[in-house]
Amino acid sequence: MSEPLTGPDVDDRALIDRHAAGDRDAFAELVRRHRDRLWRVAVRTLGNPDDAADALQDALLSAYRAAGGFRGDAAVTTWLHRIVVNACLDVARKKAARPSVPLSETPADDRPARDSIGDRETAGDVLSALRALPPEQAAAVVLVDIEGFPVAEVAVMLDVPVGTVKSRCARARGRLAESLMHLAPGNGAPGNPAPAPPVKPAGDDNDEGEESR
Amino acid sequence: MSEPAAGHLDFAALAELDEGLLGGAAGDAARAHLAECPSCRSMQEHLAATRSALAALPDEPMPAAVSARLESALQGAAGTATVVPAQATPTPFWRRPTAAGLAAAAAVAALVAGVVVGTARHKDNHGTPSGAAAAGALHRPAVSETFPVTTSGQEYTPLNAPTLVTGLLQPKAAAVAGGTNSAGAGGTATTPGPSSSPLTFSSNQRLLDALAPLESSRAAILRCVATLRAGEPLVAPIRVDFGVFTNRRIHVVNQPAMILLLPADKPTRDEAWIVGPNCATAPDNNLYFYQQVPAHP
Repeated sequence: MSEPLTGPDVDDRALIDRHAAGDRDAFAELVRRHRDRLWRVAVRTLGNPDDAADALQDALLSAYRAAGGFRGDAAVTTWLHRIVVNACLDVARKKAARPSVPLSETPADDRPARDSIGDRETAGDVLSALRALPPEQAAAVVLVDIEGFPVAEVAVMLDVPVGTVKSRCARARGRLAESLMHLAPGNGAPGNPAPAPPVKPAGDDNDEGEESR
Repeated sequence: MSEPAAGHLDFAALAELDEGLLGGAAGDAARAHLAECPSCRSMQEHLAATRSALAALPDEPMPAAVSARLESALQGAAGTATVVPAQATPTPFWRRPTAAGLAAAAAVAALVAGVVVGTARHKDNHGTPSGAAAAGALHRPAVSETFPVTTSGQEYTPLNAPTLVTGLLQPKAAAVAGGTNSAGAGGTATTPGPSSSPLTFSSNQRLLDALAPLESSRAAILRCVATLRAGEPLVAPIRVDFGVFTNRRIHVVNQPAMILLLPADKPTRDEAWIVGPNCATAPDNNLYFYQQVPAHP
């Protein structure tokens, strides 16, 4: 327990083992390794730094206590993300249960037209479009398209079938593309060459019709 | 499912096509339309640009304040990983019904599916005077070691645990678990629990080996209780069972577990604790579940 904890040769699994054996520093080191990525997932799934911090704290304390029971049938990062995403979805559901702040109806801010979707300044628009997604869709698209996890791994994290991940991602991308139409080339103003797609009312496509569970 | 009437594709349909979810005739029709419709192709390009924009979002490091908050929360959780409970050891927030503890507990409940609240004792199940002395320093003789112990081998989960734990006290359930009465009537320091009782799942047998040190010694069980309730007077469990714990949500599957039913601080409540084999030495890493349940009759 007195050996140095940091260093490239100490992998996540070893840190978990040390933690389970009672090493007080091992878990903190594990968190330090992954905190930025876990933060991005939480804050982009929830769209709100306060909620993200709450969810992360819940998640990491749970992981701290459960790590002794971690069976190693998944990578440590998968396991950590799974716990964090579940905590985020719980926070989102609790908020949704309170009608005052419906996440899915966060108004899009007034957005000046931009030249192209690749513009650095469009990041804010992309993030605010993400905030308008139902949390399950946001989680899927954050993990797959932003963090680049394979769909199969995300299915484990979200505890849903692969097809459900794909379907959530597709719905999320469709909605995001709609929200970001003003960023499409030549679309700074009305006069859109593409036919305006029918816009579904928010909340009609949470999960129904999915082949999950 | 998502093609608009005129044959034009909306973003939902385009995204499904892209993800391979638009199969059969619908997929063929969509591809045929795309080949001839520049406006739908431009929407498809916009969809691809949207994905690229997602992938290109700038990095967003964890703010220092959040990082500090997490470290401090984790240090709080680590503060009591002591083998011998000591008064000086700060009781972790999740073992006390303080406002902070309750808030944190409510938060933790999301994943551990347990609500963590108070642990003071309320009644003298086995002659322990309430509030008499700190664990390990009782002025009365040692806490009675006659509490019933069984090895049901059952799989406990966050969902079934409250029911299973309270069910342990019912005569019928106890009979299934086996040997409750003999265990309850016994009472020497190292009398093993009635581990001859049949396992619910025979495949759990090997997993349960890890619990043998606890199974074979009521003193060891009491050490675990004392550690879990660091700084509080020791009480005997109302009931102990050995089985496995599963919480698939956090990848904990068939973990060997000791299930403790302990008296809580109110006569109307008991506490269900599910812990791992090393609960006396690394309690914070061995707490799988905690929830208050209605008191036994």
